[in-house]
Amino acid sequence: MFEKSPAEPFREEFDALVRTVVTATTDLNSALTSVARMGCSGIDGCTAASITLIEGATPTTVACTEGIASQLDQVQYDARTGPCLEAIRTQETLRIESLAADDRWAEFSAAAAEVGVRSSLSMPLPLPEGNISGGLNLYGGGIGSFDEADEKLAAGFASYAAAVIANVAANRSAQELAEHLQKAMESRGVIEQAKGILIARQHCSADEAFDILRRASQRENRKLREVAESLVERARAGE
Amino acid sequence: MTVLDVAPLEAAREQLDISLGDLWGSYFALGGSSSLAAVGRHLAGDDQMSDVQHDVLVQALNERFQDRDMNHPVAYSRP
Repeated sequence: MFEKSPAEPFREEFDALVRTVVTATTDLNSALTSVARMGCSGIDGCTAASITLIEGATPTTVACTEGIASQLDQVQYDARTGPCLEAIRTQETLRIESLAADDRWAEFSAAAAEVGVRSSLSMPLPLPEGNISGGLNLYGGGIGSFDEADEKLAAGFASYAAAVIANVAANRSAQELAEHLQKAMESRGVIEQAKGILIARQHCSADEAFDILRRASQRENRKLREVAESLVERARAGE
Repeated sequence: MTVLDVAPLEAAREQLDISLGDLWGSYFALGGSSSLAAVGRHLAGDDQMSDVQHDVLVQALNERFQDRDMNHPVAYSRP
C-alpha cells in the first residue's frame, strides 16, 4: 500500500477492522473512528485526530478521537478555509510546525491556541476521483509535534481510512443489489403464480395470461404486481 | 412475426431518464426473460424480441409513468 510501512504494528488490527466492515457492518463512522484512534496512538506527537469527509460541497467530521479535534475542524468549516480543507482541496499534505507563527488561518490558529493545540498535520485521503474527498487531521500539543517520519505514518493511516471508505461503499452497493434482486424475485414469483391460476382457469397460454394481467393493470391503473397479488389472494380465499 | 416499433419505447426511456440497466431491472421483476444485452439490442432496433417480451418491456415503462400519474401512455404491440 505504501513504501515504508511504519504502521505495520497495526496491520492485524486493521485487517480485522476491514473484515468486520466488509462482512458485518456499514457503520462508516465507527470504522473511521477506529482508524483515527490507531493514527493518534501510533504517532507520538498527536494529541487529537479526526477525519473529514466532503460529500458534494459540505465538509463533515465523521470521526474524531477527542472533542477538540471536531471543534477545530468546525472552526475551519465555518470559515470555509483552514489547513484540513486546504490539504483536501490541493491533495497535498500540510504540516504546520507552529500554528502561532503561521498567519494564513488566523481564526483557526487562535482557536487552536485556546485548546492547547500548537501544530498540525493535514493529510488528504487517497480516494478515487469522484463525489467524495476527505482528509486525516492530526493535532499536536507542542510546537513541531510532527516530523517527516510522522508524515509517512500518517500517509499509511490515510490509506487505511480510504480503504475503509471504499469497502463500506462496495458493501453498500452489494447490499443494495441483493435487496433489488430479492424484490424482483418476489415480484416475479407472485406474477408467475397469478399466471398459473389464469392458465388453469381459462385454459390459456402463459403469454395470454400475461396479457390478461397487463390489461387489468391498465384498466384499473394499478401495478401489474398488485393485480397479480389480488388474484392470488382471491384464489387462496377460494373465490 | 410482426415488425415492432421500438422508437416510442426508447423515447419513453429517455423521457423517464432511466438507464437501460434500471429499465431491465423493472422488466425482470415483471417476469421478463430476455437478457440486458438482448433488451438493449431490441431498443436499438438491431434485433427483435417476441411480442410478449416487447409488451413486458412496455409494461415496465408504463409502470414508471404510473409513478408520475400517467396511466399507460406507451402502446402495447397488441391491444
